[in-house]
Amino acid sequence: MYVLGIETSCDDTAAAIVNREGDVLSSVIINQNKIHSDFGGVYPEFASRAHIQNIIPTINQTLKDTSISMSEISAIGVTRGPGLIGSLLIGVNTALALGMGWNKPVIGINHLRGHLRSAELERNEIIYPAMMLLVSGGHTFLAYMPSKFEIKLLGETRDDSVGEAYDKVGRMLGLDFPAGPIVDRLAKSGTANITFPRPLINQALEFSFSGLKSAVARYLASIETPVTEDICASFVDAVMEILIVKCKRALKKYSCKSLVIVGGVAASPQLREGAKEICDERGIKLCLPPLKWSTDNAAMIGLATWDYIDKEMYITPTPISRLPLTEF
Amino acid sequence: MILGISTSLSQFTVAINHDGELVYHKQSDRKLSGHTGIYELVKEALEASEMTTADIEGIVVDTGPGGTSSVRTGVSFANGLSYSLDVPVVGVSSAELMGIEAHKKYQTPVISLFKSIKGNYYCGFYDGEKLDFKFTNLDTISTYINEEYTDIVLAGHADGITKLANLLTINKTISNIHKVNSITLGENAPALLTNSNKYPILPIPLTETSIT
Repeated sequence: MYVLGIETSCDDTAAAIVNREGDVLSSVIINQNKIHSDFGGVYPEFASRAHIQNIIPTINQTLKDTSISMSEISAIGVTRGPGLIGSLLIGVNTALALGMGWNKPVIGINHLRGHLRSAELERNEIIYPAMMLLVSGGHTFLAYMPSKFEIKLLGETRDDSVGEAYDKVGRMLGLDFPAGPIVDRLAKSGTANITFPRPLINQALEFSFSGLKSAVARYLASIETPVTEDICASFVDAVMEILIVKCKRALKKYSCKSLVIVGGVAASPQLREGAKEICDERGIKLCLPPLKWSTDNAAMIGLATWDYIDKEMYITPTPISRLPLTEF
Repeated sequence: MILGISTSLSQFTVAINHDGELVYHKQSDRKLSGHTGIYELVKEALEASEMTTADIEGIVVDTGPGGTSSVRTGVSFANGLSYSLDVPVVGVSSAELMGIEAHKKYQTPVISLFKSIKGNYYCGFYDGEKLDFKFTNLDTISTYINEEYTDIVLAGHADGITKLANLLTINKTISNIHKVNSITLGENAPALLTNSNKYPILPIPLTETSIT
């Protein structure tokens, strides 16, 4: 049996068909990078417009890419939050209508649970208890998971997310949106010779990135011939030190068998390298989603839907913009 | 059976037309309905009229003008239902629905006003057959109406039509039609569906330029 997952929480329209084991039969993602690149970030109204244009073609293509019949689909799982409300309601209302037409249950899924489960797509396995670091354009937090269903939030960002900091620094440097991969690439050929601050580095497990972003802006304003590669290298260095220090601190406090890193920034080669070192040192498993499942996608929503089915949580979805991590 | 859906203004509306007869219609306040209220309303409508989704032969959905998120609620639901049931869906403007109602009552050309930003309005002109849109301020639109029309009925945004009436020198009637009527939607659903073009239909107006 299969689940149809639907994801429209931010700027990607996505649908996927996934089985209980995490095999992805088909996955279609229509991104809106071209629409938002002029703004250096996601423009919510344009995101909603694109979602409503793309959602039916996306689902249609997802179904066409497989040979399964409608009777093999057990349920439809759709992101109900957190995310942009105008984007969420398009996915949710479409899913509710499909469920009504096909006579399938429609389950509202927490986007963050989807990210967590993304590390288990394609038959990868998280060993619990696990430490989870979610680093994306919308979120940055550390959470402790004693089991698949229990989550304890340890610390989150007080202001910008890591992904946001990347995008904003990218915009200051005149790079394309999304800037993450470009900043990481440029950083590799630069030297980290500028001392940017590491906000909150000594404070427990909370994060803050707006000060770092402002420091980059101040540096750019103060210098006549900035070297983009060196700025990227110094910025990435600061970000990575913060993330790694916090992960280490969290792992010291909570004994874990795996470290799970998910979200768009999990695609960063620098972060992957740093995380591998931590895990090798401590002898624990590093769970990183395959790169294509790091950013927003519907396969992870589909896989998370199975948890809800197992727990018989047939929640009729209502979009909730600020859905907390600890809720289903 | 033909299903009518409207979510563009402050009421969520569902109507069912069976064999040319209006058999069910209901409106509910948008604030009470919430983001997924249209799903509940359609479910309720099918139960109340003892029908199932298999009875749906076509869908007519209001594509605005109206609240942007609010319009998309109904349009995404209608598109999803159309796709899953493989039945046609057709978009109709909220201005046309108000125009049909006012024209039936007064037999005169109708202008429906929808307040937009910076003192501008979406103005839908309905002559009993077709709809024309203009996006402009009240001064410009009143000059246009004074030149082009001898008689007109005003519908839509209540404050807007009162202000516009003061600027008009021709015969004018201020109607009490300020919202989409569920009966008008239900009664006219079969006729509206014959203008059939399948998805994707978009909430109009998407941009100011798309309607000028």
